[in-house]
Formats: sequence, structure tokens, C-alpha cells
Amino acid sequence: MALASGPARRALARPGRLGLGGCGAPRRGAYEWGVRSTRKPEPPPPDRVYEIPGLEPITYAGKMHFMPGLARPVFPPWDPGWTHPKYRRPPPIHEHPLYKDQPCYTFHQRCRLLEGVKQALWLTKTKLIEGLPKKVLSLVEDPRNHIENQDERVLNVISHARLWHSTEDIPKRETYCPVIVDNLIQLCKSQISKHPSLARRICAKSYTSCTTWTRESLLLQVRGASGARLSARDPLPPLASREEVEATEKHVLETFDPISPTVDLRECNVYDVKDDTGFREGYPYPHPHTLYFLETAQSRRHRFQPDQLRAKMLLFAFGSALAQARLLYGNDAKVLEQPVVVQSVGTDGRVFQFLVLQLNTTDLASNAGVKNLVWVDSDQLLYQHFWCLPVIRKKVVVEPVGPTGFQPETFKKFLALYLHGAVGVKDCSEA
Amino acid sequence: MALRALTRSLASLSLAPPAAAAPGPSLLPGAQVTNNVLLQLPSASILLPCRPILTSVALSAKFVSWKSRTKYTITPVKMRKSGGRDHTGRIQVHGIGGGHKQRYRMIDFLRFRPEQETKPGPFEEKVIVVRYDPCRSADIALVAGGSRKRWIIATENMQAGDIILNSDHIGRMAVAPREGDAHPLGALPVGTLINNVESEPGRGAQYIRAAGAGNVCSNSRPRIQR
Repeated sequence: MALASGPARRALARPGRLGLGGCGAPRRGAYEWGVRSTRKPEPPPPDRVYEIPGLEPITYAGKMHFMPGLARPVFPPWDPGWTHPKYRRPPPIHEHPLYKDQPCYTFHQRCRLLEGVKQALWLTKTKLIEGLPKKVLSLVEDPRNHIENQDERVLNVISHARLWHSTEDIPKRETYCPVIVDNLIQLCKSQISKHPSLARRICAKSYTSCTTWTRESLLLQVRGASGARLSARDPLPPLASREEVEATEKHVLETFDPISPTVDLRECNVYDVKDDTGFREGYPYPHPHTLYFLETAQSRRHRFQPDQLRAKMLLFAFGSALAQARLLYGNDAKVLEQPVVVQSVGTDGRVFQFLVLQLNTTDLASNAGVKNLVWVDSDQLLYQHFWCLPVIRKKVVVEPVGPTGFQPETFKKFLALYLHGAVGVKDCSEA
Repeated sequence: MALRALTRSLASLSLAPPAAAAPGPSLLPGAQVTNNVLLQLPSASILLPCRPILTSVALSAKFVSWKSRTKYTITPVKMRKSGGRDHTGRIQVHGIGGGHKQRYRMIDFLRFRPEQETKPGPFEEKVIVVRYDPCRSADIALVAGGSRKRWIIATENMQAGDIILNSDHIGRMAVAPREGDAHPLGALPVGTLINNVESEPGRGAQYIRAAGAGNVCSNSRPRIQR
């Protein structure tokens, strides 16, 4: 004992201090965020007198001032009867009428999924097929569907959106992206004289939809305002045959361990389980045809990556398809006789993503069984770059004002997706 | 608050001096000593008895720490540089100051932190991206496991897509060490290069965190671990 000195002697005197302070718990825990000065101060502990039951502590409450030696009085909490609107606090979450114990994982229009399309495929129980379906591709190649002077008119549309319609030298993406999509749709609508059934459609912007479904004991919800929706009076015909649909039973959905499928989804306990297409009953154009998603953020950090944009398109298309299926065929989980088809186009003004979803089943709780199908055509450039100001080197115009690297294929696909559902009807009526 | 302490202690002083000691016998007999009070000057050696007071106090500057966020997040947080100044506003450490503006990314130094208390035990995480951190010499890696994402210090050959294991289990056999995994020291074989070491389990890594740092694990004598 006499040989020990310093910390060793202290350790022998107080054996609890050195080493672990109590059965494996560390002496000081890991760093806790927030400095002590910004944390709420703890209330002072009540006097020891209050721990003795049956004893009435003598406090200085009657004296109206502090007295050393007397106990600190404990007053009942005072309810003033009213609160100033400035200081009103919302009631605790547990008292909200829509509070539920089971959490719901919500996807909204600003959710960026970590795993992108893979995660969206798992959440919607879908099988991915690269490239557009054959029926749509046949519409692309058919020269009867092309507009006269198509390339020239599309180039004019691009120049109008990117340069002419605004007074600024270089218009921002928030201005030119919606203009380019509106103009392309207007160009497609010019075909109404050739295909009269195109008139049985309407475009709606700023609509909110909501759909809820269960996936392996996880409650998922898609809600929010997404872009514009083209609705039609008649539904789109199914694209895959019954054999292809039944062949999806053997397909195994890709998992991404150790990441859980609910990563980047908003977990909330206050939610309403409902299916809302966004339109009331008796709407003359009930069937969703195409959803258009615009990515208008200016800086690259705020813009969605192409993978995240495709995941968002898939989830919103699935949401509207599921809501429509439940409206037509009821809320039971079953394989649909007549699959629901919804298309989707996403763009940031230059690069286009095309998506066609066929909803084959509403039985989403288990991983086995028939899966839904999605055809995705990703990263289709409409033009490589647009020069708003001419590039002049040594007094020679190297790059003139206008788009460079124009690809007409992209607009043909856009037109084909627009005409899908209307051209077939005409053929039937012709025959 | 300092001023209040000062005034409270000054208030205990009385204005009138206490009664001095009775004057000693005068050398002149018969002479009447009048106005004793005026002749008595307190000498320097006699101190007036009074309560202890402090006449000076350190003035604290209007310093509020920027570390006010209590909830963990992976988004970079705005920070204020100290310039070597402490809470009084004076320079505590010289040579610090200036430099590019930085945003702080909250790093989780406690590697073995299960997402839910209900699922204890070793778990795996996937590295999403390894990037530069302006606040330290080492690079940081965004890892995701379960449904949460966090930043950790990246090891030398860590790349996006790697799977790393966080474990608190010590078996009879030493674990085959892989780069990026976190194990208790007792589970690692002698001679592994380690970094981000904590002094006790649950404390969080405090040692060997800088770039290029690495220590050789030497278990020459057995130590009791959790």
C-alpha cells in the first residue's frame, strides 16, 4: 500500500473510479450533440424532505421570501385558462385524431431514394424491362404518325423555350423547362385532325394524389403534388400478354441488404389511410394516361439525379395506377383481369426519361406471385447543348446560336407515348 | 451577474469606521486631550475588519457556441470559426484564424451504435460515398444501414459499395480483420493496424483519427474488455 503512489493510490482508495463505472457502462458516454448552454436546464431536484412520506414539510411559501433552512415549496402547475396565439403550441402527437402506432413510410415529390429505381421496384413489386414496349416502338417507326416538318418544328420549339420566349439573355431552367414540355404537347395535339380520339383527353396540373399499400408488413404511402397529368376518357390497352404476365411469377425481386427498403422514406405516425386519385367522382376523364414530371431546379445539387427522377416517376405512376385499380375493381388484393397501364415522362428540359407501367396485381403484401411490369427508356437527349449566345473566336462565329446535337428519335418517342391509346382506336374503327 | 456579486459584497461595508482602540496614556500629564478622533489616523498595518469582497471580475464576452443542434443529421451544418478565441473573447491559442468557410458534417464516432435498441448485436452497413471533409485531415464516408445514414471516418482503401461490419462481440478465436470493420480490441489479432480507438466501450473514438494515423494492435497482456 505504501509503495503505490499517485493514480495507483487513488485507484486503490476508490476502486470504482478507475475502469468501468458500473457493469460495462462507460464512465462518460459518446459525444452528445448540442452544447450544454443550448440545452434546456434541468429543473432543480425537490428537497429531501419530500421523500419522507407522511411528513408535512415546512416551506417559506407563507413568508413570501426565501428563508435558509426551510424547504422549497412545490406549487401545483397553474393553468391561466387561455394562451396567447403567439405562444400556442400544437398538442402532443399522441393526441392527434389520426395518430396510429404503426408507422407509415411516405414518399412525396421531394424524396430522393438512396437506391433509386431498384428500391422503387421493390416497393412496387415490379419487374423492369429496358426499352419501350414493342407496340409503342411500332408507333415510333410508323411514318404515318409523323408530323410534317417534324424536325424543323421541334428545333423551333427548343429555340423558343430556351431563348425566344423570355427577355433574359439566358433563361433559367425554371422558365424554359415547363415551356418546352408545354410546346411539345401542343405539337403533339396538332395531330388531332388525323386522330380524332385525341380530343378525348385533358391535361391537369397541380393535382394531389394519395395511395396506401402494404408491402411485407410495411405500410407505404405515395402522396403529393407531382407534375401534370394527362387524363383520358378511355383506359389504355394492356401491353403485355397474359403469358408474359404469368411468367413474372418466377422473377425474384432484387434486395439491397444491408439497406432497408424504407431508407429515405418519411416515417410518420400521423397519417390517413386513403386512396385518392386527385379527382372527384363523375370526372369526365377518369383514366390516367401520362404523367409529366419536370425537374426545374437550377443548380445540379438541388436537381434530382436521373436515377432518382426515374424512381419518382415509377412511384407516382404506380400510385395513380393503384388508386384507379382500386376505384374500378375494389379494395381486395387480387390479380387484375384487365391490367391498368399508366405512362410517365420525366425531363429536366434536355434529357428525357420515358416509362410505361402495367399494373397486373394489387396483391402487394407478399413477394411471391404475379409482379407488375415497367418498361423504362432512360437518358434520351433531345439536344446536346443550346448556345444562347454565339461563340466567337478570333472574329469568326465558331458556334451559332441554337441547339447542337439534336436527336429526332427522342421527340418521336414522346409523340408515340402521346398517341398510344388513340392510334389503335382509329385502326379498330377503320377496320 | 458578476456586477451583482460585486455590489452585494460592497453593500456589506459600512460607511462609518468602527470605534478605534482607546488612546494610550499621554506623555503630557494634566493636558486634556480633545478631538481624539481627528488625531487618530489608522496606520497602514491595521486593516479594517470586513467581509471578503472582490473588486474585479472577468468580463465574459457575448459568446454563444454555434453547436446548438441536438438532433443528428447528415446534411452539412453551418459553423462559426473560433479564431483561437475562448469564451472571454481573448486569444487562447495563437496562430489560428482565417481560411475558407467550412460547413461541419456531423461524424458519428461511436461505430457500434445499433439503429434500434431492440436489435443488439453485430450489424453491417454499406458505404455510399467517400468524400473530402474540410474540417479534418481524413476523408469521410457516408454509410447506410437499416433505414439510417451517417458519416464515419473513411479508411485508406474504402470505396463506394463496400460492406463494413460493426461488432461488439469477442470470440475465442481472433477475427480475420478486414479493412473498414469495427471490432473490440480483444477480438483483433496482434499486429492489425487500427485507428479510431476508444478508451472504453461506448465512449466513442477519440484516438488515432487523423489522416495517415494508424497504430499497431499489441495485446501483449490480456485486458478485460466488454
